Amino acid sequence: MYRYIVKRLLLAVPTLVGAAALVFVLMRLIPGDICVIRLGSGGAHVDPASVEACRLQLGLNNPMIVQFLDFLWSYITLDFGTSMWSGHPVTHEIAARLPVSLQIALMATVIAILIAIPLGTISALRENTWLDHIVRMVAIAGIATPSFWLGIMSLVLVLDITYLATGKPWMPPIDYVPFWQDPIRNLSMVLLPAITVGYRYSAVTMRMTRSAMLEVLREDYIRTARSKGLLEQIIVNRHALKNALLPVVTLIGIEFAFLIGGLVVTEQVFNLNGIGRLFVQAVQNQDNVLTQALVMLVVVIFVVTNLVVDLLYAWLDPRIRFS
Amino acid sequence: MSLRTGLWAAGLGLAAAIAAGSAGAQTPKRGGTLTYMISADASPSFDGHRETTFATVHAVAPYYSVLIRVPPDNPASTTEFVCDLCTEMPKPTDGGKTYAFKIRPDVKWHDGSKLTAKDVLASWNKIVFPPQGITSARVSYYSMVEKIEAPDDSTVVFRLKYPSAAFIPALADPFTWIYKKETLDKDPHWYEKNIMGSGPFKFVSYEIGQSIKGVRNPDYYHKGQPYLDAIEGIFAAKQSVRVDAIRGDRAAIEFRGMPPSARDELVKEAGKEIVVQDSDWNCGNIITANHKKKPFDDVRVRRALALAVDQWKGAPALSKIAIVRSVGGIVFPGSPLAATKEELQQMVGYWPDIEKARAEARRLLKEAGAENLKFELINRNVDQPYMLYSEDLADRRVEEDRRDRRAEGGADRSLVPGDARRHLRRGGRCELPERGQSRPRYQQVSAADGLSRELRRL
Amino acid sequence: MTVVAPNRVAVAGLVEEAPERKRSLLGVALNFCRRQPLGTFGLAIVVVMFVAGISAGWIAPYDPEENDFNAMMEAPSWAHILGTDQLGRDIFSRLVYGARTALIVGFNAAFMGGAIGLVLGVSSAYFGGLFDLLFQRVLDVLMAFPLIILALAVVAVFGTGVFNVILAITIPLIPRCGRVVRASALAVREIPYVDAARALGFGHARIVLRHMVPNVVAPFLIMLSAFVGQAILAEASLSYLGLGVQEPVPAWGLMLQGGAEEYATTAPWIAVFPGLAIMLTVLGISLFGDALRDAIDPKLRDR
Repeated sequence: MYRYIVKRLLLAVPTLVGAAALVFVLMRLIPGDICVIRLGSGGAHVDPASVEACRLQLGLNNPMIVQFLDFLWSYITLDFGTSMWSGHPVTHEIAARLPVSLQIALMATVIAILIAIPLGTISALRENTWLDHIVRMVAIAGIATPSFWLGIMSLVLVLDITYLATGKPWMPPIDYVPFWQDPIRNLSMVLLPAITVGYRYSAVTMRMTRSAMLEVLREDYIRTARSKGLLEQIIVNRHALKNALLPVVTLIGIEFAFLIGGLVVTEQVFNLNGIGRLFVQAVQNQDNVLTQALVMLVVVIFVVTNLVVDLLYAWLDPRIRFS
Repeated sequence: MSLRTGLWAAGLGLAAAIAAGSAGAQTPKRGGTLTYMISADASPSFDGHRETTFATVHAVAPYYSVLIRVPPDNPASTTEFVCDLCTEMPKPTDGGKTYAFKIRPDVKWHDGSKLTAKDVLASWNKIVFPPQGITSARVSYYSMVEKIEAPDDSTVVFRLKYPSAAFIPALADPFTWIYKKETLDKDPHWYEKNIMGSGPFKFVSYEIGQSIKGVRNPDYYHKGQPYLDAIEGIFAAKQSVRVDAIRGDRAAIEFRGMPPSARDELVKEAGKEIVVQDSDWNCGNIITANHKKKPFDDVRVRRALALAVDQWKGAPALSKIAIVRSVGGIVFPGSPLAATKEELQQMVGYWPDIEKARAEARRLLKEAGAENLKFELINRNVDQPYMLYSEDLADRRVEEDRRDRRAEGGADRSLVPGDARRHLRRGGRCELPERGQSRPRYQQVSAADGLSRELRRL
Repeated sequence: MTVVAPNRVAVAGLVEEAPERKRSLLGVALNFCRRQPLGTFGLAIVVVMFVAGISAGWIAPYDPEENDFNAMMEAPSWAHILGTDQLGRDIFSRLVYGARTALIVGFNAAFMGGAIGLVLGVSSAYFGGLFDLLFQRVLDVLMAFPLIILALAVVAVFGTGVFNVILAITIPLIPRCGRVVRASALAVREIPYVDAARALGFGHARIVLRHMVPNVVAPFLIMLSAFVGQAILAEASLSYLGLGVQEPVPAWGLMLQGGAEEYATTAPWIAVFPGLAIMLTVLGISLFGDALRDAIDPKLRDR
């Protein structure tokens, strides 16, 4: 088991280096550079000398290969550098934004699981009934609806409905406070974006649950259990669902890893000061250091989630042995 | 949040208006926290001398003092300037070449020490004559300044190379905060990441990229001010978020402006609880071309561009969706410097008969051999008021590669979220307020006549 | 671990294809409609969008880029059936032309991404060895990027506009396709006729294109329909961020940017209709894709 984990982590190294190389190259292919943007912000008087000094200071004049090796080496030594834009340490910049994004991603996952697994199961058990059709339509609509549009609409609806109901429009808070400081304020802020993101997420999961469940229900051992006269409840809960959950777990894991990046658009709608918005700003400002750090963060989350999913998978399915 | 004031301050609602609290009300109410929206993303540093976006002013100016400023109770004035740190506005001597300011003796830094003329001198030297490695965004405003001196602890003297009416307006620039000399001497970059001033509010905390908070400065030298106990600014680059926030009572005010329809909706809903403050913005749809690039090096082409825009129909149309209203030249209407309507209509680009203007534009283009001129105009990356006053990231970053690329008819490569890009379409018809994107980067128009200050107020 | 399912898809696809060919095309279509009412509904939506996109010039009552400054932000009326936006442009006309943009981007990105992924995935499975190993590593890297983040980075490099947006969405789709195709192709590779073809001395290209590709077509088609939907949504997201299609080109995501949000309370029609258009189109494509999959492969119903 530990050997397996170590092996998986070693296998992740090429992925990480590859991702690092990719983002490094992409950032340097973008025309222009941060010095001009930062110094000339707002049409300021910028003399070429100070641009040159800035480039020198940020190491933008070094040969590409040196820059790349510096970048890799700094990550090996766990020094993630300072943002070229604000001069703050990258860890500091990210730490300020991570809690919102992480909380929304987690809450969306919980919402997705709570909705998707029961509904998906019921839908499979009542295959081709009206209930099944409704659930499927809701699920497909969830995949088809752009989450940012859902966000815009839900924000307006919340304001309008509270206005009509109480005469005073209400909207979620717009500045993030950590959960332990003010749970109610925190939740009322995060809930709406979590639902908008969670809807799509639950739709995907619901479809997977349903199809996995259908497949399992056609298996021989279920038929055997039924013919044995076992209670339907036991069949579903103990035999079918447990097996059907395998692909669902994988899907939830993969979707979660993508969620962090997928928040880019949703954070824009709700003015959330999260990772996604930071990423857009970093690319826009051509803050290479920050962009690289963010991409590496997303990639690491992806790799780790995948590993966790695989371990979970093995835990759920004793047939799988690590080799 | 007892105070629910959707103040629709336009253009001039800068920091001065914040300090003045609810200026306009007859008897100011004291106390309370004002949550306000800052209509942009946070700027990279806190240093007003370096930064140029209004986000910096909206966020950080309440913590600093300036030497002189526009009158807080009449921010729309373009000719009046009053003291902040000085005791009275000086009369120029030496044929208009020397201005001596007396500094108030009762000003304390937030750390308790005394503010003196040495601090003012050090700050202004940093602004006008930035040392090596320090960026000052407004050097060109002060091209007339020869030397700044502080003969004693309460006097600052500006000596000019030549008399200039632009000097005092430039001096009242809201970005010219006074920093502490001792701190500057230790680390000239200190103010980029830290805040310590002498303004009406004391800096409390900054949630990186999200919000900035301050509390009342009890030792403020303008006695009785500020009226508020505390302030919190929240960054929101999106107009819709800001309007929603005011609507949902998450914030009380924004200092920039909102579309008329949103304003009307807020007023309709909140009734008397909302106060709208409104001043005129000029609607000048000017196309600024890089005159070093073909075909814009030809004056006839640039003239044709000016002629093609229908200023007189554009302004009323835009007033429905943006806070602009009056057709204006470079100086906004109401200023004694501004051209009257009659004067404007004499100018190229402001002719009342648009058909005639466009015919002339076509003729000029034909004459210049640029008949099928096609180019892309970049609008500013700020949703309201889609104005041309901009000099922001959007423009500059596109500019550079555009300058090289557009000539070859290549694609534009900007990456500007929310950047509304409009094409000047066939026949030179213009869709929206636009501004040229080909402003020469390293060339700064000098503040020869005080106009550039107007341009940069935002 | 995903090897199992696609494997079955491929085999099932093989078995299914033979009897289908005997029936006439019309018969197949009618049968499809009868068995898959939801899928037919989806197909109808897609067809309507296609017709709208192709004949936008005839359907749209106004020029989608034409501003009418006397009719800004007008509520739906007989003159403008879906109202006008904040710049006085007819929303219905922009929606109709927007269908063209959406379908161009959606289909081009999906087909290009799919085609490249297909060829790479099948070749990788066929050649195996070092090529396969490298290909897998590259896939790992690309897959680790969320679609929208990779697309954003590509747009940052190449710039905005319809063509670049297609490119930006195509690139992240390639590995997603490549991975699934490779898995199903690995299974096909074990089937003796590939060995037989090799024994007959056929060239690599011929074996890959003529013998392996057709046998992974079933999962590929299903995936493709999902890709079209994904691509349309991605285009909308990019445009919403201001990094996709640029004004004044009519595009649904772009219509939701800026004005739509600002006026969502006062002029909701500006925001509601483009969102509905996106939703309806992707819904149609998904329904059709689901039905297609059921028809091709009954064993995998409703996955």
